[in-house]
Order: sequence, then structure tokens, then C-alpha cells
Amino acid sequence: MITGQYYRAGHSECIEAVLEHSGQGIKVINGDTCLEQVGLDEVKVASPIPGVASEVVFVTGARFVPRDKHHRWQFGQSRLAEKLERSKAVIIGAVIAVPVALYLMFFHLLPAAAQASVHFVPDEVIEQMGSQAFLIIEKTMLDPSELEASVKSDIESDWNNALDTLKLDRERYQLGFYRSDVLGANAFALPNGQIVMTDELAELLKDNRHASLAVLLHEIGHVKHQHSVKMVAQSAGAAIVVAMLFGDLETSSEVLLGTGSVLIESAFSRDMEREADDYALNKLVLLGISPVAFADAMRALAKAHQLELGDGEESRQYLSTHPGISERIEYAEQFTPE
Amino acid sequence: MEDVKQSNIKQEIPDESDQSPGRTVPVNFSGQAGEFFGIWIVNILLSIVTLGIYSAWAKVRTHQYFYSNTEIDGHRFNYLATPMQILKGRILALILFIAYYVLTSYFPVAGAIAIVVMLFLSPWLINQGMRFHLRMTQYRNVRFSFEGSYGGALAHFILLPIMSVFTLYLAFPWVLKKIDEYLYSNIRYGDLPLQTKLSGSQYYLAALIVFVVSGMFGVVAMTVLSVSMGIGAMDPETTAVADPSPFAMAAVFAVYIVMIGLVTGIYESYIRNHIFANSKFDDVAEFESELSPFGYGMLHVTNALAIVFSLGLAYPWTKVRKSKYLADATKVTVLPGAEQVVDDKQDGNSAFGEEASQLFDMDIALT
Repeated sequence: MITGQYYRAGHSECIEAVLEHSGQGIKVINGDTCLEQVGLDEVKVASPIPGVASEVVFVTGARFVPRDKHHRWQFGQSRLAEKLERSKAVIIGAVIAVPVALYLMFFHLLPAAAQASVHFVPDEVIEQMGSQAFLIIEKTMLDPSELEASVKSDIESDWNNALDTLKLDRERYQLGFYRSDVLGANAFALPNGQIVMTDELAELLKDNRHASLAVLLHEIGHVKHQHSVKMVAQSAGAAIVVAMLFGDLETSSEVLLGTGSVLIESAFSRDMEREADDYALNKLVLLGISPVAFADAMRALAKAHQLELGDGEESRQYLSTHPGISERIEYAEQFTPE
Repeated sequence: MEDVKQSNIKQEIPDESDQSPGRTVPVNFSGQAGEFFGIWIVNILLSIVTLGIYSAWAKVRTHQYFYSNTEIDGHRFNYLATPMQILKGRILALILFIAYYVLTSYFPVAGAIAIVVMLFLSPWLINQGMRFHLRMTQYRNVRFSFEGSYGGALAHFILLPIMSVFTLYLAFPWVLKKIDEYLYSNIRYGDLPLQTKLSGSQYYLAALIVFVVSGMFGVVAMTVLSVSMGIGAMDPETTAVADPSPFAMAAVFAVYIVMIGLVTGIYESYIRNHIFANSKFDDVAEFESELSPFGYGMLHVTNALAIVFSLGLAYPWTKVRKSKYLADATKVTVLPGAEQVVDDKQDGNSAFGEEASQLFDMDIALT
């Protein structure tokens, strides 16, 4: 005999009642009045939750809420989840396992899944993605090149020689020059193989043709590894995981979560930069050029963008989409090919 | 948002007229941090292990925990959604999200069209989300619901905010008031509408305080930054523009967290107090909220700090603490009609709208 509150179906009226459970059925009684008399198959009891009264819901929509919130019925859904949630051993195990699992999820599973998904993206999609993105960048950030013809032809001949020696398709990889006040000295690659070098960068490196080429090889590395496609898959995956696991947070926690997402995304991006660096350094060696050319390019870029090398760089790294310049320079100078 | 939401439901209070025939009762929240911690951490673990599928069960259990531990006048709230409902909604929402993400990321031009489509889809999603959430909320065996129309949501969530841009955002507090009026006056408890009459001046007052407080924090942040830059510039080795040191960045971040917490708390408490005092279910319930803006702001700040310093493990504690704080600040006057509310049944709700609005980060929190 369990005491509790009985609510009629679809009505706010509440009656103090007693529930009796015998082998074949359930009876809800208030004084002399029998409110319900049904078989066990005509009631539902959801999987119990710690600290929550276990309600009996009748097919009609009526419900019985036991007074004692710790009371558990001998019928209804499995109590496994509650047992786990109450077990000290499971909780302690979960406290240890969850960070490990999250780490594996974000830094191994997700990148691997993103990598695998890249192969399922058809070439036409990548072509479209590149050309549409290029259209937008061109309209908003790029102006026609005003580069000296000699500088341009030097870079172009280095570029063509490199493509041929490395057996890369000249049709696939297209190099373009643009002036850009927004980007300054910079280069970027689009997933369809379109690579852009700004006039500012070409000018900056015009006395060191190997450095120019090193930057372009880094951009080819991005295309080769299909980094843009991978980044999209990875960011979408991370957004979904976060929404599923921590969806119902309030404003201030969301700010923290947002910060966390930025950190994770920057980490993804830094890994890709390192991968592209590796590609460039390996190809430089293949072309018979010292990897130091890459370090020279980095130094020139750092100077052009007024970045300081050294102090404080490591601690800022976590917020950056690129690895620290000093780290990249050092890596290039000590590089030994695979 | 769900605990906030449920608290506005339980929010009832009488106005100061003592002659009202009702009983004024407190809202009791009996959840415990330790108990919820177990539920929370096991939920996360199982969600990861099942590659997200269990997250639907996790959501139901979390909601049910907070609802059932919220009691008014001897009756507990109830969360009715089933895991399968959530799972189906979640899968549909995921498909939409991925399609949208792929379109906007891979095809920027087609993506621009998708953004416009989404803009017009969002009022519908917001309504569906509100509707589902309230339909799944039950008190005394009677469910809540939401009656907002597409036109209403379009006007309040898209058109008015866009128009307020042309007033240099001066009309924005008024827009926020219109949005709240739309949300609250469309709430039903059984067959009873919630009657809400809000006043714009309260929103302007809240906005003004938020503006002043954030301005003060802006000054503090600038000072921290310039002091640290000043120190950097004194270093004779440095010729280039000094970057802020990591320490300064941490300090600015801390100032930012404190500001967000305080400002959120202050705004929410002014608005919540105002909405509760001016909403009622005729002859069934009236509400009262007496949040202290500074106290509630500090609650947000300390909660955020606890989460940061515990690396997230304090989250269950902060959630329970907040629900308790909100419940303690709330009173309900139960009027005689509370015994006779009828649930005008209308079933067949999909969780899609709610799940989608959550994924697209446009879920609406009732204050």
C-alpha cells in the first residue's frame, strides 16, 4: 500500500489516494471509492531517475504520484540507468573516462572522420566550393595585380618548373596574382587548386625566389590534403557533438563553451598548417632547395606583419589559427625529409 | 534554458492586493547537486559511448530531474517528452543542420540563398520549439501550450529587430518588450491563456543599467590592457608594437566573464520580476518574482568561475544552485480555479522544431 496523489486524466483536480499492487493488477483507492483497477499492462512507469518520484501513468492519461520520492515499483521500465547514476564507482569511473573520451573524440575520432569524409566529397563539389568561394573573395578583398612583369614571370617560371618536377597537374593548380589592401603580404589556396599570391607578398620575397616558392608549396600542401573540405567537416562535427552533449546551457556557460570551441577549432587549424608546412619542406628537398628557404619566408612575413618573435608567443599560441612563427622557423631549419 | 522556463511557469505570485481569495505559496526546488552530478556525468559518458544516441535519453532524464524537483502547492512539474520523440526530432534537425552547413560552406553562392530560406524558416522553428517545450511541460496533470502564429513570430523575431537598426537600436528595448509579450501572452495552461501586460519603461530601465554597467567594465578592461601594454613598451628590447601579455589577456578575459555574468543577471532579474508581476492565469494563479539584480548577477559570475576552475565539473552544482535561487525568489498565489483547469488535448507533437532551434542556436529562453 503506497500513498500518493491521483490525478484524473486531463484535469487539474488531485485526490489523495492509496495504490495497491497485487500479482495481476493495480488498484487505486480513495476511502471507499475505487479510482482505478487495471492490469499491469495498462500502466506505464518510466525508467526511474534518482531523487524523482516514480509515477504510474494509466492508459487513460490519469496518473498516480507516490508521496515517497524514493519509492520504486516492481514493474515498469528498466532501472539500470538509475543504478549507474547512483553507483559511486561508476560516477568516479565516469569522471575519469569522460575527459579521456572527449579528448579522443575531438582530437582523434573527429579529425579521422573528417579525413575519411573528404573522400566522399565529389570533385565537382570541391570545384564548386573553390570557385564560389573565390568569387566572393575576389569581389570583396582583391584588386587587379600591379606587379612588375619581371617579378611575376620569375615566380611563374619557378612555379611551372616545380609543378613539372613534382609531377603535379598544371591544369589543376592555378596561380594568380592580386593586389590586396585587406590581406597585405599573404597567400592562400582554394580547394579547387586556385592559389593566390598577393602583390605585397611577391614584392616582399622578390629577392629570395626560393622563399616565394616555399610559400606556394605550403599552399599546394593545403590543396593536396584537402584542408578546406576537412575543416568544414570537422567544424560541423564539433558543433554537432557540442550541441548534443552540452546543448542546454545558459548564457554564461555558453560564453565559456564558445571559448572552448574557438580553442578546439584553432587547434584543428594549427595541425593543418603543420601538415602543409611538412608538405612544403619535403617538396623543397625534392626540388633540391634547402628547407631554410621556408624559414626565410616566415621571417620576412613576421617582419612584414610586425610580429614579435620569442617572448609570450607560446602562451598566445592556443588562440591562434597558425603555429607560432618561431616554432615554424625552427622546425624548417632543423628539418630532415621523411 | 529549461529550468528558467519551468520557473517562469511556476512563477506565480499574487499582486499586493491581500484581499485576493488565494493562497500565496513558495516554489520549492529539492534537487541536489550530488544527486544530479551522478545523472549528468553518466549521461555524458553514455552519450559519448553510444555516439550521441543516448543524448536523447539524457535530455529527458535531465529535464525530468529538474521538473520533478520543482514543487508548488504540493504538486510537482512533469516533463512528458519521451526519448524516442527527442531522438527523432534530433535526427531530423541534424539532417537540416548538415544540409545547411554543407550548402553554406561548400557552395557560398547557393548558401546565400539557404541563409535567406533559413531566415524565413526560423520563425516557424521558434514557434515549434516553444510549442513542443510547453506541451511537454505538465503541472497537476494539465499541460501547457503555445499558440503563437507564423506571422507573429516573423514580425517579432525578424522584422522588428531589423527595423530597430534604423533607429540606431534606440527602439531595441521596446522590441525586446514586444518579443516577451508575444512569447508570454501566447502561453496556455490547459485551455487558459496567460495574460501578460508589459511596460516598455522597465525594458528601457534595464537596458540603461546594462549599458552603464558594461561601459564601466569596458573602462576597466581598457585600463588593464593599457597598463600591461605600458609595461611592455618600457622593455628597451622591444621596438615593435607591444602585444598584450598572456597575463593581461587572462585578466581581460576574467573581466569579460564577470561582466557577462553581472549584466545577464541584472537584465534577467529586472525583466523576470516585471513579467511575473504582470502575468496571470485568470482565477488560477498569479505570480511574483523578487530577484535581486546584483545577487542574481553575482550568482552568474560565481557559477561561471566555479565552472572554469573546476574544468567543468561544477556544472551540475551551478545548475542546481541557480534553479534553487530562482525558486526561492518566486511565489505563486493559487486561486480557487486551479482545481478546475482542463487539458484540451491535442497531440502529435514533434521535437524537430526544438531540436533544430537548439542546433542553430536560436532557442528561446523564457526568463
